[in-house]
Amino acid sequence: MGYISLLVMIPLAALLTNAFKGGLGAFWRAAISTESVDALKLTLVCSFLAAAFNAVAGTATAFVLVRDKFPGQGILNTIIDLPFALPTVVAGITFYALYGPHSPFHVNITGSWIGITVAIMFVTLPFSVRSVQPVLESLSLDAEAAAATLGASSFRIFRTVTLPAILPALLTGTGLAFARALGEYGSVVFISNNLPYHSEVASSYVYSLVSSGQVASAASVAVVLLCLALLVLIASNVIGRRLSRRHG
Amino acid sequence: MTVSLNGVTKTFGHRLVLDNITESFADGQLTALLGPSGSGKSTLLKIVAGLTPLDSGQVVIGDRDVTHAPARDRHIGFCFQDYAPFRHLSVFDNVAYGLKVQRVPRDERRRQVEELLGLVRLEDFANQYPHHLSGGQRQRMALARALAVKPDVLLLDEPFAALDAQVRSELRSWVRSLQRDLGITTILVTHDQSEAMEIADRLVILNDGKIEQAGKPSFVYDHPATDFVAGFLGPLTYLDGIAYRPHELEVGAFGEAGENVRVTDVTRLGFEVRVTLENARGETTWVQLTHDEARALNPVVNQTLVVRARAEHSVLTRTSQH
Repeated sequence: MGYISLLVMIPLAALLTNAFKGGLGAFWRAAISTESVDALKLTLVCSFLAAAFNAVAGTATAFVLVRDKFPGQGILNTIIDLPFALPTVVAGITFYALYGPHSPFHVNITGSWIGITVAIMFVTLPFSVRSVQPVLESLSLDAEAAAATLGASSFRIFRTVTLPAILPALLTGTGLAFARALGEYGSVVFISNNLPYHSEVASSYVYSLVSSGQVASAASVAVVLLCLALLVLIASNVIGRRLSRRHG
Repeated sequence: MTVSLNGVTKTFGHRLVLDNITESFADGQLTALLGPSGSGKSTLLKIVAGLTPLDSGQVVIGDRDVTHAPARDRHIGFCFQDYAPFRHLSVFDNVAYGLKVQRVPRDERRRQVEELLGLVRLEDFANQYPHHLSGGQRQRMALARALAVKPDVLLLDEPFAALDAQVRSELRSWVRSLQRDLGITTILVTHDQSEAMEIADRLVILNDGKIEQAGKPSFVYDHPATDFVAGFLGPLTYLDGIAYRPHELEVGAFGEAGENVRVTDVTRLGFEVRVTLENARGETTWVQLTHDEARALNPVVNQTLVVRARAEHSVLTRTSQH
């Protein structure tokens, strides 16, 4: 409990104190300023897209890792965790080099929601893969075989047998990825160009506020971000738990 | 519907699991595929179901060559040892699954599922989920689910192995009478010889990827074709190097006809009494006595008795004493 307090509770309290230093009105004004709302909107949209895309791609990756056998599988399995280990700034610089103005492929996605989404996808992919993978591993193949003997096609088996079994884990993983994406800074900051009202994500808006000395406003936006992330986590947990309780 | 296997061969890596199996499973009969673990019996069942591909050979159900047909086109029902329930579906929806795939209209589906649930005595559990059911109930649900699509053949893979003794024997005889009533061709995989003897019209005994013997249970028991079959189907005891079923030997009081032996152990096994004996050459043998026989004879350790084969004994294979 003391550990949690030190690591989570005390910084949180400090943040809240800062955010409401100027009273509820000042908090609200900072939170709903046009630049803030635009940044939050962009963050939400990109995070949602990245999490949704990773839910699909991550599930597919987990399937390949669990169900297929091929040389180099162990290496691929390790590489999945790289986004966790790599400093996000390094990822950001790499993306900027690959898909920026000097792209070797002549693909420039800087300053657009596409660039931001791709960067976030990279950082959050492990959440989706690692949440689904253990459930798939423990899943008995017999239920799928039973469905096959009852006449079901492969797609129907996936939709009616496999997907429902992995859904709780998938939702939790996607929720985590989404929450993590909301606060992503390092990987996004280069590729986004940080144009206010246009390609500035919430975290970088907070950073720019702090840089210009508006600590209270920065804290206010941060609190909004925090609440959104919390909401996502709670929702995915509740839904996931309700689903798995029904399945026993 | 008759199931015919023709030269079915299967290898896993370098291991030959099934070696040129040719066998026919008669229409309406319950056949037990009996063998120790690793004998290839489950693999053979999954090849019939289309769940495991074969290397060479042919699988024919009725007059359809299904060798290359996927499981979903084979019209078979399959029950697994672990029941393989659809955990997120209610008992009702589990049973309805195959009917839904077949696009049976809703009202008709409901009627059929209710009928099946009645058949397996799970009417009161329609809205429960599989994890609310006991093992025996889950296997009955799995059976109803498999029967819902009116399969040509019912394939049961160690269906009772995960149940405790009492439930197992109840479910066993219930499945047997259900199979008779429906007249559905059934292949049951088991490693339990007493289960196979009790339930099956016919035994097919597998060992090491080959069929050792096939035939009526009572015939195979009395006339095993190989040492393996003789030993696998029931206990053997040896007298003068000849194998007998324990009930085929009898003991008598000293002075009667027979070979003199010394009692070395007396063990009570509920209804029966097992008496271990040793002859002058130091060879041991054992016999099984009923309670009444044991009371009449009252054998005690170190007592001298005689042992002999009963008049009506059926001599098994001639094997050297182990």
